[in-house]
Amino acid sequence: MTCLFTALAAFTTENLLFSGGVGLSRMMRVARRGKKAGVFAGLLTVFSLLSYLTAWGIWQLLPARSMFSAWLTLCYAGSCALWYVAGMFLLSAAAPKIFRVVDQLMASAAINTVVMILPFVSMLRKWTIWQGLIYCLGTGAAFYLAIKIMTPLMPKLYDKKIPRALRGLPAALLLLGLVALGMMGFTGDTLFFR
Amino acid sequence: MAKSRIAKRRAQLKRRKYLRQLWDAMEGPLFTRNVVLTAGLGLFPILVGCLDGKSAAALSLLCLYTTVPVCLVSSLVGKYLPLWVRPPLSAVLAAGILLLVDLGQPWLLRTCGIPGYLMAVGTVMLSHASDYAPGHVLLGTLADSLGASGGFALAALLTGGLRELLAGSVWWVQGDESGTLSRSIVSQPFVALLFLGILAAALQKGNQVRRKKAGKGKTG
Repeated sequence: MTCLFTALAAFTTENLLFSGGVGLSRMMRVARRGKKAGVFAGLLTVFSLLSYLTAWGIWQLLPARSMFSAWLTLCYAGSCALWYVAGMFLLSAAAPKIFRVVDQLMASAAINTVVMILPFVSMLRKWTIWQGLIYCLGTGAAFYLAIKIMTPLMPKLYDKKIPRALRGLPAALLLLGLVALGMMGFTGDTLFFR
Repeated sequence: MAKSRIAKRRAQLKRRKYLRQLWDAMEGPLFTRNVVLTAGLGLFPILVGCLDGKSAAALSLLCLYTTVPVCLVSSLVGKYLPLWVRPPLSAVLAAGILLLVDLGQPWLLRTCGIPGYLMAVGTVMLSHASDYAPGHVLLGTLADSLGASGGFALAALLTGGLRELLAGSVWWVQGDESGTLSRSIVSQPFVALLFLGILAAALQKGNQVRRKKAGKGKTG
């Protein structure tokens, strides 16, 4: 039941993209290209899971003095880099056809804030390993959904009907801001307090 | 005598052209092609980390500390490395720099929290270190990375400043009651996204006007 709630949270109130503002730059880039949304989200999920499991292993080995430290960040960055390099070698050797499809996306899917933040979030919330893994899966799904929502909208943001000053990135930022405002509704916060 | 004067003038023009190129490399990501407002890079630290002027300044310093050295190293060795190796190396190098920063100035990471640690994989640093730096000379890369860090700092400080102004501000008064904007709302990502959207539109408009003026100047 707890895992189900964690998965739901990854989609709604604790959505890393819109409620957390994580990975928006990457998401917009993928949505602008408009292709391989599923492949990118899949890769992101795989790398999130791998990095999270490595982080879990690191916590068991090294009793961290403080919850967040630059040492741990270096370990997480190192694990992201290692999994990425291992993935590149493995895919190019074992599945060259798949490699040709994904090689351009691998770096941005493996080395980004979404993959790196998950161990931090898990530490902050004191989650069990299963909750963390479910959250990784939920985040991957939320990322896929966000790209799917944004991909058809991106060309419309460059429409000639939109004033020239607002066309493109400004419109995208305002749109994302409104979506994030909508997501805030799930948390039940109010704009003003009396 | 005349020859040496011509050579001197040529050298002067060459130097001026070089300085102009350096200025363009720095001014672009800093202002007219601002890394945040035109390229959409480095959004996460601004949305989540820039809650007031102090945190914005700390994040800007972290961006400078990671971007400049990583770009310089990338400029020196990047061309000898395959394209796909550059991002992971940049991330590990930036994380190493953060470790040094934590030893020298621990308040920086303490002020920023998680967004500070995640500067190790910041898109501003990664894109400039992987794409721009390897194909350019050291001084050009220095100018570009300083411009990129400055551009990030500009957007971060404006957002942090606005949030500091808005937090706790009274929006309406009705009798004894008043509507005050809560700090928790102001620190939500949507506030920064809407503000960055407006800033990006203003910059786009400014660039259009500038281009129009430049076009008129050329034809006139």
